[in-house]
Amino acid sequence: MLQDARYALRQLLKSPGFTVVAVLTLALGIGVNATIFTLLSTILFKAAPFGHSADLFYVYSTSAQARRWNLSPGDANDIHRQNTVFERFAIINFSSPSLADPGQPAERVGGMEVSGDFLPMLQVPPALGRLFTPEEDRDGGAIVVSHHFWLRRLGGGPDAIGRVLRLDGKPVTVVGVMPESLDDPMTWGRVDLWQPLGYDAASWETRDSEWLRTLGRLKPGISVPQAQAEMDSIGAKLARDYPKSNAQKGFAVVNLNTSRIDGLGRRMSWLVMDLTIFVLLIACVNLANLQLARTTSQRREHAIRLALGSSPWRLIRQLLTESLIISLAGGALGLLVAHWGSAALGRSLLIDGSEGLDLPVNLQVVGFTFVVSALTGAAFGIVPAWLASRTDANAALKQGGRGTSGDKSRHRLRHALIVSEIAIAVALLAGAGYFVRGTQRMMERDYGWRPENLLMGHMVLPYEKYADEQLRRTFFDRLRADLGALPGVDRVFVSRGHPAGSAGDLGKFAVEGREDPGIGKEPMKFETDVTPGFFSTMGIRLQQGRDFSDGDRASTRGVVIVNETMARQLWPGENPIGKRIGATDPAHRDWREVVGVVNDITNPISLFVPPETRYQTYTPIYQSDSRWLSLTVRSTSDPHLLEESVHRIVAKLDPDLAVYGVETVQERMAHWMSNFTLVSWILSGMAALGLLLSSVGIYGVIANLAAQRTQEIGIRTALGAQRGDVLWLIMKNGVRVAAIGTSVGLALAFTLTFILARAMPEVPGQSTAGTFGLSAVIVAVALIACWLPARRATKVDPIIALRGD
Amino acid sequence: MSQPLLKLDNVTKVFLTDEVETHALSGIHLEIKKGEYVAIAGPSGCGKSTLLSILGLLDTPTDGTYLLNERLVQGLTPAERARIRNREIGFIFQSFNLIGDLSVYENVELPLTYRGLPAADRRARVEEALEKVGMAHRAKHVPSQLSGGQQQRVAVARALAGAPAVLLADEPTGNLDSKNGDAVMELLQSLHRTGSTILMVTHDTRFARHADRTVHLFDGRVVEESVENKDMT
Repeated sequence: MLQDARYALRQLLKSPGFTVVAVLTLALGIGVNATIFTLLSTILFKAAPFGHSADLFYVYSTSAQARRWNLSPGDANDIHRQNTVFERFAIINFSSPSLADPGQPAERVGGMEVSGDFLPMLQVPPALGRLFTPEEDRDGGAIVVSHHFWLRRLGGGPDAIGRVLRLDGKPVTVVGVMPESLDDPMTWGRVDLWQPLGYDAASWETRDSEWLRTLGRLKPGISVPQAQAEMDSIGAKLARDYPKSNAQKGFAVVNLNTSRIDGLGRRMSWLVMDLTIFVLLIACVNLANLQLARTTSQRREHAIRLALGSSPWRLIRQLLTESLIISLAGGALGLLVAHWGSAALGRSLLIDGSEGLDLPVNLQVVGFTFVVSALTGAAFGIVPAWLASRTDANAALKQGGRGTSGDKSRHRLRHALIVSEIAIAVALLAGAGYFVRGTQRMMERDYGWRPENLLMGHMVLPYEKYADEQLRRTFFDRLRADLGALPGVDRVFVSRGHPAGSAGDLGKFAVEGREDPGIGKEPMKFETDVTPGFFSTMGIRLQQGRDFSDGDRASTRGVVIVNETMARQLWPGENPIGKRIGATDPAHRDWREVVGVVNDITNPISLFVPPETRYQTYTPIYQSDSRWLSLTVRSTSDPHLLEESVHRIVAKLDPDLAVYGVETVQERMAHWMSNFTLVSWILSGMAALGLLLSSVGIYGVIANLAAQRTQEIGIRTALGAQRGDVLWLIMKNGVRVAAIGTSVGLALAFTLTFILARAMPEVPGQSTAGTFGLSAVIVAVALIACWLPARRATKVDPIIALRGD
Repeated sequence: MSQPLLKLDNVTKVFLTDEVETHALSGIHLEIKKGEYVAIAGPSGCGKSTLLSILGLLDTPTDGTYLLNERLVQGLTPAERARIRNREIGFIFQSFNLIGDLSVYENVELPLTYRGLPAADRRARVEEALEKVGMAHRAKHVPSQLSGGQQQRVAVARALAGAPAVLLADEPTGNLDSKNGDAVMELLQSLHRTGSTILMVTHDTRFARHADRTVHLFDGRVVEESVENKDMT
């Protein structure tokens, strides 16, 4: 074996050109695969960084309208008290408190309000300090901070413990710092701090509003079906006890680790991985072809070895050793590619609205790369080695190593390899094109509003401080007035929900005069609360009725503006103006009168949800208790110029209030779409790489075959062949394999796009014409790759070619 | 007196390699009439093959003139030269130079294909040529299935099929044993008897005697011309 390796190394050093091309080709193919595997292993296979995280499960509520939804405090509390399957059970509320130190501007931080079991349930001890005491769980006043927050905001020293910070205007004491391993954005996004949930008894009675998440650790020996059976039982009991809120509601147990990425993200990841394998396949086919060419030129040497008594298996082993050395060298370089690629990919990924994900090239990735390298070496080396072992020693020695008609089978095999390479490239291009074009179409479509020249920011009004409606209204009025007075500001509005972000809260509603559809079957709508000026600022068209005015206050008649889909579907053939919608509780309908109809809009966050399938309402912000707010200004010039003024004006109105996420709406949209854009770039890059590798492969084979036919070209030229005859002689091979390869590739491409259309129905995908167009690109590239060696063949000097005999 | 079919006048060929000038041919005067059988003899490296390449329009002279059928041919474009090669010249090579992937029939048909002849016409000519060399029964075989002598007969058939003005044979017996060599020489002799013009390069004086006339080359110059006395052979 060692002798084989030594000999293989010597052979490879003797052909440095081949060796370099082969190793680089594999480095690219394996490197891209290792990079994408690094991503997959982190976002799909990596467990959450908690002790025995496989035992951690969310409990979601389910209904006819939602497969996974948050829980009301009442339901969460009942599950906590009644279940016997979880050894620990925690209730979570994601918060975004405003953090302010005296003399420093307020900052919005990412927080989790958690019940007492939460941090102990993670089985991760704090790096510094301690977790919450039962008293702190009950009364609050303490926070545990994350490692990155401790470094960034608290200086990273042990003196951070005991520091007092102002959170939403109230003092809190830092009692603990969690270790760096918990800085994992994949589970709950970027979390700066944890604080006790601290709900009072009355809060736990709420059942008509659902905003809480729950997490439990299964008791040893309890299976998932057992846990689900108990949740079903609790759900049935709560449905009986609270029919008004729970009649159609159930609960689902979902593992924490599998919830770390949504379905579309998971499918996109697999799509990228699958198409990456296509790139490696193309690289393998290239190398198989190169190896075939080499073994053909080494035919005499193989014949001598066989004549001297080498067994065919020994020859196979020696040639396979050569292939394995190449593939392992390619794999080693591929790890470097993966190191750079995954670092770049991690920096570009957007997880929970913030950029950056650590994608380490760990032992798992190294193992994957080693296995892929070994398989690749075997894949591209086995056929040439097997063919070499079947060399007819007698014939080869007689011919002096020159292959004539005896090489026909090898030629056919090389052509077959090129056909498969082109077919894979067509399928790769079609698969990448399907997603890229689909995403492009989604992004380029009419959103129903105008994103340019808008600057937006967010703020959260603390509940206690802004409990009074008059105080809120005064704040909104002054904010709008002060921002509107800034030079360069055209229009201003404040809203809860924003077209550039979420479509607002989802809520059930009733239509006046319609029969009650029954609990759990009520229609759902997205609700956005807005100040006057919202529609004109956003460029949303009022199609019927009127806009809101400053006269629409809490004390006046409740009004609502609906989108055209809602108006059309709820009141077909009728005038929607004057119709009323309200809450589903018959005792508290709280009717609102429709005063206007606006066009449907698309939100970048739900890019793949057709707007015409969604009910959307807009209500005056003064008629609701809105705290999570967005403020938006339309600028007459560069909106970035207004950023500082926005911060200054908000700080002037309330120094404890932080405006966060200030950016232009176009930046915000690009942010939301960045993962799609990134995947599109990755897929485009892979398609380009696949195209490049296949064109190099086609060129290599045609050039090699043309070189093998030099003498034949000389004979033909001597017999009177014109330049065109020689050109066609070489080209026709390429044209034939390109035609067959493209046909097979088109069949593969249509199969692939058919599968993709079913796997990712959200993405509108590529048209048939587009797939044919991409195939035309491959054909063009293939023909150019054939034309170059063919053109060179026409310049063969017949005298030299014939003398070469 | 009839005009010569091939006429070289003061032809010179100089090769330049690494700033070294090699005079392969110097001041060659040669005339070959229609129906003549001429042998070009001389030791290895004397310029025989270079002369044959120029006569076969595979190469161009550095200086001098070359008239083929009274037409000046050295200044023609590559396409025109290929056309003349195809119609006027038939090549027979030392190593046969058959195309291994083509059958005997297809090999013989190849120059006719380049000429653009209709299929029926090609078939008739190929069959006639194969009959003439006694290889019609092997039409479907590929070259590797034939002996050296048979391959050279196929090469002769290929050269004959297009009814060229002249057959240029470059050491046609060089790769054959004496028996097959004699058979090929006999074939050329019979072709000559039926009116073919043949110019054969050989270093073997035994075979040169088959020709009407032998031109002796040495160091790129014609040093002697001898006419064979057929009665003595």
